[in-house]
Amino acid sequence: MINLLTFFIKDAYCYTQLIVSQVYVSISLLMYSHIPTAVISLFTGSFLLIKSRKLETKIFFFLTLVFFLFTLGDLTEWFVFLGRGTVIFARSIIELADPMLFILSSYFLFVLVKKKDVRFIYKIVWLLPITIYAGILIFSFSKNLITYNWDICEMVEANLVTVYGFYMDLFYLSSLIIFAIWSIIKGKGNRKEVSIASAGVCLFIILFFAMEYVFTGYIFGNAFDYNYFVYAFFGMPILILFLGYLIIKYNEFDVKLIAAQALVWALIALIGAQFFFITELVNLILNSVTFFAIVIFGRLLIKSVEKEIQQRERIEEIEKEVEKAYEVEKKANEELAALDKVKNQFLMQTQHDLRTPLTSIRGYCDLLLGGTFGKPSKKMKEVFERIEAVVTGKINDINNFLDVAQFQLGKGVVSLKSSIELLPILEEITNALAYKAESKGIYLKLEKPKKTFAISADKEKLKAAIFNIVDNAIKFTVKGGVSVAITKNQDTITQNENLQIIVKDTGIGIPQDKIKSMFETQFERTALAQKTATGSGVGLYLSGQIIKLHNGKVWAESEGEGKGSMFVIELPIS
Amino acid sequence: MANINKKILIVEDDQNFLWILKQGFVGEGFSMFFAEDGEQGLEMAIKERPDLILLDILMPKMDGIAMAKKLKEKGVKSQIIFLSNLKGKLPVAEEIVKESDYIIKSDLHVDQIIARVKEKLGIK
Repeated sequence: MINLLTFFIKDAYCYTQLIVSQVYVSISLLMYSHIPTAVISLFTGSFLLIKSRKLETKIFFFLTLVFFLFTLGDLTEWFVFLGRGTVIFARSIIELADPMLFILSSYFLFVLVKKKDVRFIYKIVWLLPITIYAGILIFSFSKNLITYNWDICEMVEANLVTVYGFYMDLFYLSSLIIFAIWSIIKGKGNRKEVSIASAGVCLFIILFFAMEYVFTGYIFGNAFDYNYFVYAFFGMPILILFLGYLIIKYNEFDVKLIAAQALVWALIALIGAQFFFITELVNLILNSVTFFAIVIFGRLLIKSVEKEIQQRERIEEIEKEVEKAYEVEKKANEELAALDKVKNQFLMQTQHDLRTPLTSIRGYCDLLLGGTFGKPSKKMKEVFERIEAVVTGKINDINNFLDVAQFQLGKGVVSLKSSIELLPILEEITNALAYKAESKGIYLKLEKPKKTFAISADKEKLKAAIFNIVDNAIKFTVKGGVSVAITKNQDTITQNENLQIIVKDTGIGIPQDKIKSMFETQFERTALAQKTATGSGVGLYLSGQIIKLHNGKVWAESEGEGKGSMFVIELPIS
Repeated sequence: MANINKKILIVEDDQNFLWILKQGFVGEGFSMFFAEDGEQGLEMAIKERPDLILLDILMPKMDGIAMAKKLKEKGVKSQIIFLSNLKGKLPVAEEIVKESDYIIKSDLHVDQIIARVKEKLGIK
């Protein structure tokens, strides 16, 4: 085929002109710069259009179509043997296609970067120069003639067309570059992506502009030398290369293309293009073998990569599902927390409403006993005292009942957080109870350790648990007082280090038979506790449960009734 | 009657308890003022500038915490003892309650409440 073409061109007068021109353009270069670029460009444009119907893909397809026509037109111009009319016709296509390449490239970059269409009003402003240009080309008058000069073997344009065309192209080029720079500066999250797209499009257009006006000598006022122009066509593969990178790296156009695919297609295109320039049979055979080998191995390569990618996608899908499940769980937890809040409010309202009338009854008794309305008789005093004892007992029952209800409804809500400082918790407790101890005339002291201790704990719940125990110790102490201390301890069996909070009182003590069960059973009262008419047991039961949930232990030690007691809370060190 | 200069305002919506406190404070020599909801209490506190306010939390119209906050905004610097039957985190979590004093009604007898008031006012 190549021989045939060479024969025709050789035969034409102009081929000699090709050789005498300043730049030698071989037939191979001519073919290589036009045919593969045009084919690859149109192929890529159509491929993307099939895969994606986004606006930018449509624009790109149109761009490749115009480029294809432009390339064919330019090639036709070289084949003078096709006849004068054909060449001039080709030239008019080129003249119109050339600015369209500029416009479509800019439009393409704009949509690619902005992800939206250009506003209608800007479109009109944008298309105005080319519309005027089309008018100049269509309505022929003496100043816009395009003719073919057989002597120099070049097209000759009237000055108006050339000058107007130059400034129009310059306008489109500069606006494209300004837009590209502006987008790169403004781009935030996708700056790299925008830079690559801008670089690809700008290189394509700058190369075109340079080959058309700079290297031809036009802007220097020299005579045209169009032979450089063959290099302009390589701008298209460069643009496609940049787009390929965008597609693979950023999934641009929503087209799933993998690097292996792109590589194989590029190789096929390159080796396929060789067919245009092979003149010898041996080379033809060699090229064919290589070509088919690449087609076959490429297919295998793509298959295997595709499989890998499918697996990766599946993993990503699973990851998404896990994330979704996590979201659902998070929502459920939030709902639970909201429910917990409603429950707490309900319990608070209930205890408030139950206690209010009882508090008033006790208040009336206080007034009667205090002699506000005259000193009561001995019998009356006893009755009032009995009423008051019953009411106080009821108030405590309500407190206890609601504490247990609150704890049981909120079961499993103990959420341990690491690195909770223990000392501040104890300080809060002793501060809160200081008044109570003081009003009983006993001491309450916290022996502060020199070191700080951190544990895993649900701060509020643990505080409540220890509070109960200290409160209980104060309750049963009449003389002396209560001390709270922290010590570090090593378990003799497991060798694990743990913390012991020791609450020591000088109170009534605990009978031996009750010591073991104090933190275990609900609603159990010691005989002593019943005597003083204040309930215990429930608070301690709750404390025991909470400490258990902290992986800790709690127990009581006492040498017997009247000899004081010691409560040990053991918690693991985090 | 050395306490005559001291003004005490009790804001309490529970009629029974209000009456009990009224009776309890008789003979202590304070100038007593009473209100049955937050709005009334606020008005009275601004007018009378009491030395101390016994302030219930759960009340109609305006609750005790809201009333205490309003008083702070208006620059009324009366001492406050919150007085409620609410137990648990909610009331104590409020900054204004932490700054003041807080009594759970059912925990104390009337004479203990009065003692607490006197102590707060620095009266032996």
